[in-house]
Amino acid sequence: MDQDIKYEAITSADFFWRNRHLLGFSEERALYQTVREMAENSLDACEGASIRPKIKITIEEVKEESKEGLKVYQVTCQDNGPGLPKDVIPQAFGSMMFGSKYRLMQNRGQFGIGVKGAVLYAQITTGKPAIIRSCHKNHAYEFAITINLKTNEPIVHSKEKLELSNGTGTIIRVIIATKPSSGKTVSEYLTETAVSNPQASIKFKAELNSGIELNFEADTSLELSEPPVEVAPHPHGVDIELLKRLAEATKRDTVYDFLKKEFSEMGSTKAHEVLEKAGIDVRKKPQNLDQQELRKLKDAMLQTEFRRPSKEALRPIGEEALKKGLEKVYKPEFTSVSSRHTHSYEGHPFKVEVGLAYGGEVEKLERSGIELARFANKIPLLWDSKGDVSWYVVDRFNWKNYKIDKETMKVVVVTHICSTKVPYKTAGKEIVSRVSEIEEEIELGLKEVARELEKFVRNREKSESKAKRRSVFQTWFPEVARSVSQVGNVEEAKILTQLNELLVK
Amino acid sequence: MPSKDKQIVDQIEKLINTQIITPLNSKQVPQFVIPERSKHNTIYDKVLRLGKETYIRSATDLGQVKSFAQLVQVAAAIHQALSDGVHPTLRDIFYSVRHTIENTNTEAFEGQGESNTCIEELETILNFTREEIGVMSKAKGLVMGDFVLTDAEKNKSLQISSSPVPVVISPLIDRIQIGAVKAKYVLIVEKDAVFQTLHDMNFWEKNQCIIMTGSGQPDRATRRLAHRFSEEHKLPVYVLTDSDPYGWDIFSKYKVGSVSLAYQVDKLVTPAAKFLGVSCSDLYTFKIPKTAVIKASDTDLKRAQDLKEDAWFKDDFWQKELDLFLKYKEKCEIEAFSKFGFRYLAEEYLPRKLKEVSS
Repeated sequence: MDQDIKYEAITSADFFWRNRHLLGFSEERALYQTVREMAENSLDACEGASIRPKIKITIEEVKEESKEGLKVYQVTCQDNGPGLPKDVIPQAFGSMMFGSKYRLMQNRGQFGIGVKGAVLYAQITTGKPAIIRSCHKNHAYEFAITINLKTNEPIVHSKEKLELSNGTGTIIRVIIATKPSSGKTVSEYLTETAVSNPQASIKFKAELNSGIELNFEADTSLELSEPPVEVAPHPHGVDIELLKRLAEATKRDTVYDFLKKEFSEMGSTKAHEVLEKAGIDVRKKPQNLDQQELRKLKDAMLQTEFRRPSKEALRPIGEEALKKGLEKVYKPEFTSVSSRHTHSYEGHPFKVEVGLAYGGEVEKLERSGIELARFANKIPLLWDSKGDVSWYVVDRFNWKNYKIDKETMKVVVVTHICSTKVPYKTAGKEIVSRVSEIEEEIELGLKEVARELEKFVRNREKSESKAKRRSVFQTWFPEVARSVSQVGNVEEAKILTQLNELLVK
Repeated sequence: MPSKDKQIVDQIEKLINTQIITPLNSKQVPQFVIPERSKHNTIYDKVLRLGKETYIRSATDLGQVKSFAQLVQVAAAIHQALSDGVHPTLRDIFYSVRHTIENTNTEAFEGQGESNTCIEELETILNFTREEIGVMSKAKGLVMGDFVLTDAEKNKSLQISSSPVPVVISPLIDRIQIGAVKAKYVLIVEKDAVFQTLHDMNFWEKNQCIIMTGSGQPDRATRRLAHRFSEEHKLPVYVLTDSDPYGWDIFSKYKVGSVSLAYQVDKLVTPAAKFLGVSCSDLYTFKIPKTAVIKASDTDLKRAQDLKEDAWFKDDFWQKELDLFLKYKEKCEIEAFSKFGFRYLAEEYLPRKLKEVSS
């Protein structure tokens, strides 16, 4: 991020192409990444407009174009979002703008390039422009767009006003060339997306393998999740680079005002305290802070106690929604969900949610053991699971303590970490680092859901054995009663009643 | 109804009343307390009898309700049979109680073993042998001698000595009275073949004795009959077996009893029984020719080792005999005595041995 401003000079598009593997668009995973950017773009659009998302993704193979180990796929994503005004469309889909403003919010976007990455990848691999059809406030337009790699400006190949169709929404279609794909990862991604977004309707149809079709209906009993909000950075969450950029960009006249207005949890008292510790004049212009002063300021902020970062910026899945998501996707007999309290690490608020599904169709999973689905900011993390904090905690978790046999039982475990800054370990943003605060929360969450599962299994066994018990006595008591009445001068029914009464005790 | 049958019917009714109907009326759990019939609960004190250990069959115990119900069913079945004037066999009882329980796919009895167990339990609880209870089994033993068997209730009797063939020892021996015994002693032989030889030679008539056999391992009726001759008629009882550990073990069955029948020891064993032969030392004392002697097998040797450890073989006589056997590793069947001529057994060996033991 810190280098972004410089890269903008050589054009973001160039930067993208050179670093496509870092941004998820390597040939192996370009199809998955394309779907992912499109789906997340659509989900964000709907969420931002408080619309219940209905997303439909299709992949078709363009057979006549495929050659030499590469396949050409046409990927289409349709949503029911608010659509975009015709003036905005070219910029929104045809310009690689990395935001220079530091935004602290829980974003879905993984690399900040969004759907434009798909447009660019299509353009580079097949030369085909992306087709965008959007209906906004009853005006529908269709664009064919590519990106000018030199100037980073959109090139509009065609623009056409369409007859008004019903509803709003956007359709984007790109044609890309990648290595052949079985669609397994895409399916997995969309399936897990349905777990973290049960309120959305997600449909997927692909001409891959012998054909794939997924259909996750929206759970309309769930309220829509609110769009994420931006919050000012917490004083404990800044480094010198960020501080420098914020100081250069601020419109405040004094460093005192700058602290008070541009940071969260910073009142007058705290601002005075920090400046005193840093030995900086309260009236100093923030733009004039030199490197040394910035360092002192940062250190002073770290040495000062603040209230925990606000959780306002966080958008957890929510206990009910996660439960519904698990139920919808895995159709289990039992689910348990734990939503932990908001905590923070290094000034960044985070919240951990853990879910567990057991029994029912979970039994149909191929492998025995714990099936871990990891999420960060509602996004499934599919790659490089080992080394991830959730993997680590789940793997060394003492399941035996909860009478869970991870060799033979089939259990789905979901971990969700939402934060304004998910501590990814690598540029690929698939592995979350082992931050001890997060580790601890995951473990506590796991304990909660494991305890619930243990209780469930025990109760089930108990009621099963109770029923079995009853049936054993119901088998033999009538035999006793009949034989006794045969020998003694007593009614069979009376003996049976008396025997049954003994059991009630 | 014969008085013995009536007695059993009454006992079963009493059992059901005291163990089931009465407890139920005061909301108590019906249960049976049954003496443990296992080797570890067997005590040797001249005879093999049961120790004090018991087990419980309770109606409200998940693991016991089946056994409890089965026992009640078998008791009812025997009650029914005796009331109808029938004496069923073990197999008859199994067939009369076996059925698929209504509205279930559970078999009330999965095999005859289960109903047989119930009968044994009933024997121990009521302290009657199954023959007394009226449960029949195949007759195996044979007897011959000068005495009279009478069934007073049926008003029938038989002078055994007038029978041209040996008489089978019926399992219903307990319903029959033994009288007019003209014999000085009882000679039990291990094997049916030896019994037949002695019978052919009129040994019993010539020697004024009763001869009987259990045809190998004696059944309960044969043991019971030997017991009755000893107890009721105070006759000395002598046992003649082959000279091998198997034969000697059979002798102990008559005298001491066995683990599986320890619960009926007082009715089935004859503690006064004496071993007549053939002992191991007899082979050398009587100079049995080598051609009549067989080499002992490994099984025989193993068996002899085991016998040496049994409490009832711990006396000097048996320890010496078993050591001798283990030393020479030789055994002999009584039939081999015919090497000396067919009359050797009846006219030489037996008189000499009888003289020895009775002196």
